[in-house]
Amino acid sequence: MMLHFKGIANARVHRLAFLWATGVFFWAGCASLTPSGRDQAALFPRMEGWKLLDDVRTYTPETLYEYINGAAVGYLAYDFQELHVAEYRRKKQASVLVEIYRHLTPAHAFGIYSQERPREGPFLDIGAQGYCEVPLLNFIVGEHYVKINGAGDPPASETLLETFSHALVAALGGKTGLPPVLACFPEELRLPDSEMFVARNFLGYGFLHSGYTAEYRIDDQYFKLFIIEGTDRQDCQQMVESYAELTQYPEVVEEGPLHTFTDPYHGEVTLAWKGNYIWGALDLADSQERSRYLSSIETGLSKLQPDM
Amino acid sequence: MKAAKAVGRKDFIKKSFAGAAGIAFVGSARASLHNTEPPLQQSERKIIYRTLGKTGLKLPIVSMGVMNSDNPALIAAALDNGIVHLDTAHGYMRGRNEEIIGRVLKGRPRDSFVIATKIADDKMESAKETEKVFLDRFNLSLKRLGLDYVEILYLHSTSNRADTLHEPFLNALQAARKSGKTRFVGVSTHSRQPEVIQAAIDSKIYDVVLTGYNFTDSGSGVLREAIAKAAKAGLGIVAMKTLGGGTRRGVTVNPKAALKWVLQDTNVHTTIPGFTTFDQLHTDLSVMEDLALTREEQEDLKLQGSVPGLYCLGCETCTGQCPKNLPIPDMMRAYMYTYGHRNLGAAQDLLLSLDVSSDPCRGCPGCTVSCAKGFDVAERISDVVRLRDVPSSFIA
Repeated sequence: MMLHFKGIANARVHRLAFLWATGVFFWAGCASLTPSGRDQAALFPRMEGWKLLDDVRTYTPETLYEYINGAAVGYLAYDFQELHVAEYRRKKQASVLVEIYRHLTPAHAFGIYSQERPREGPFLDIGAQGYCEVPLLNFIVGEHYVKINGAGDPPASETLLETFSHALVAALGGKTGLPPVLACFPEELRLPDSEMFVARNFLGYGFLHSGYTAEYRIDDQYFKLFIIEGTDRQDCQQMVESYAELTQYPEVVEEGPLHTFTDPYHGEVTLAWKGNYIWGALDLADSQERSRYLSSIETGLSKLQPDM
Repeated sequence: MKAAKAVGRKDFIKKSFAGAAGIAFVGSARASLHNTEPPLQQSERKIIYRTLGKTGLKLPIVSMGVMNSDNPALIAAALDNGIVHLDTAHGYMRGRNEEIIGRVLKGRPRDSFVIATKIADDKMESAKETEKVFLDRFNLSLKRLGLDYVEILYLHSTSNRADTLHEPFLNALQAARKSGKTRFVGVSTHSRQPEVIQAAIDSKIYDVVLTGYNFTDSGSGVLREAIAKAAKAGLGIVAMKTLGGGTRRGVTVNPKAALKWVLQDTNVHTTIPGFTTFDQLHTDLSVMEDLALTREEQEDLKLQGSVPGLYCLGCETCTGQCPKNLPIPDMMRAYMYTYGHRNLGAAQDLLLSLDVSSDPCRGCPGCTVSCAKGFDVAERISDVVRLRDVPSSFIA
């Protein structure tokens, strides 16, 4: 009898071992398929009166294209990491779809958000910043760009969308701010909320990698200020050296002073660099104004990094 | 324009539009773009032109999809180096894209560029309101672009016959054309393209189709046939998504090869790759003059094309093909849940709900199912069906 049970027990152990092995091989075959759909649901907070549907979908850089078509290119340019999509339902008709895009850093999340936000506010104090256009509410928090779509029947109210957004902010780590570098752009003549972050190919050059810009306007003339945040001094030096080679303006490698030179595509560019920052102006003809604006940026950056 | 001009704008226009036979000779002093790409000094450029169907517009085979570029200098450089046609949309960057283009176009002769924009297929509560909203948006687009008219106005991104032929959209498009605010009308499509293209042909209203088309569509030939049929019916064909997303499951696409692959199909009249650097512009400009695929490019495409993607179209052309009558679309969906959505729970639930064994293909000498997307159906089934036997506790 004991032997019989032992035999059954052994058979069970073998079966379990087989299943375990199958599972392990399957997981290995799926390569980084964590978290599973059931774990992903933990990203989405419980909402009273709402049922979170089980079918949480996840998209990766390789598959995002098949969810949002050509728009994926823009997200990939901002180092998109993954997207989780879930739907909440209430009484069958009402539906709220939540998309949580995770990017490499908060700056990258801000970058794609800044491409899509409206030109003018009002903006909401949700996460780092958000805006609502019923039935949509979009916001950023940390490295996440969250989109809430309440276009069910009936459509969600602004109050309901905000309730969802606050719960999501809490679930994603709590309130965060905009990238600190943005505060270094002078306010005078700046177009409201024109600040952007370009994650790669800044100014159309691969060697400049990423940069922040803000747009300004004097009468009918627009100009741009920019700040490039390098990883360290050497990184910035390499960037200016490449730029010097392109523009045939070797003086730009000198750290500290303002340099004005001709870029083959952008025309007259003025920039300076120090430590891990490069900052400059495009399309600003008045040299005194250039000096004033760029000096203001330097002051801001030195507050941000006193040992710059 | 501040950008270094490889070709004088007036000269370019004069010469390029003289190329009615299909190829124009354009003198070029391409600017030094980057130290990795030496400039082509005063070389003779043989830009290949094709006629955009019944519109009669003669366009270089490479145009610019501006969607992802907020760099006016890059757009200006594209126009200064032989690109004529810019493609944008009302919704790109919430209108900033059109505004940036408008700034670049300021001061350029109106006959030196061809502009297309798109208005979304949003349905309002009434037909009248749908038309009004569509036209109001279009008027705003013109204002942003600083133009009195565009060459092409598209209905943006439809994915089925009904939307493509939705009367309020057609009325709005025709009204825009009649008013002279657009010369031609078109429809753009990212999914179920053959159905949309057929609808565009049947409508007798559309002049142009803008369709996603790339080397990953080489499998069944369904889309290629639809494009050929549309071109034969006189529609202009513009191809987008020519890179197929840029990566195929981790394999980086060779952009030059991918663009050439699309343009090997002479029914495609122009393409709208979206470049964001001067180097990428340089690459695409070179395709404008030389479509021949090198051996290396052919190999790259073979490698990249062998990865057909994860997503079942749900077209159901496979239904009924399996001798064992397996629910193939459902099983492909389970595969998509597993590897695409990483949702093993949903995949397992779906598999367990299907009446299939753990070895459903047993006894079949070889799979005869032909997938429209080129999936290896038998391989995917044998892969995903293993999930049935994985304990749920491993997944939850």
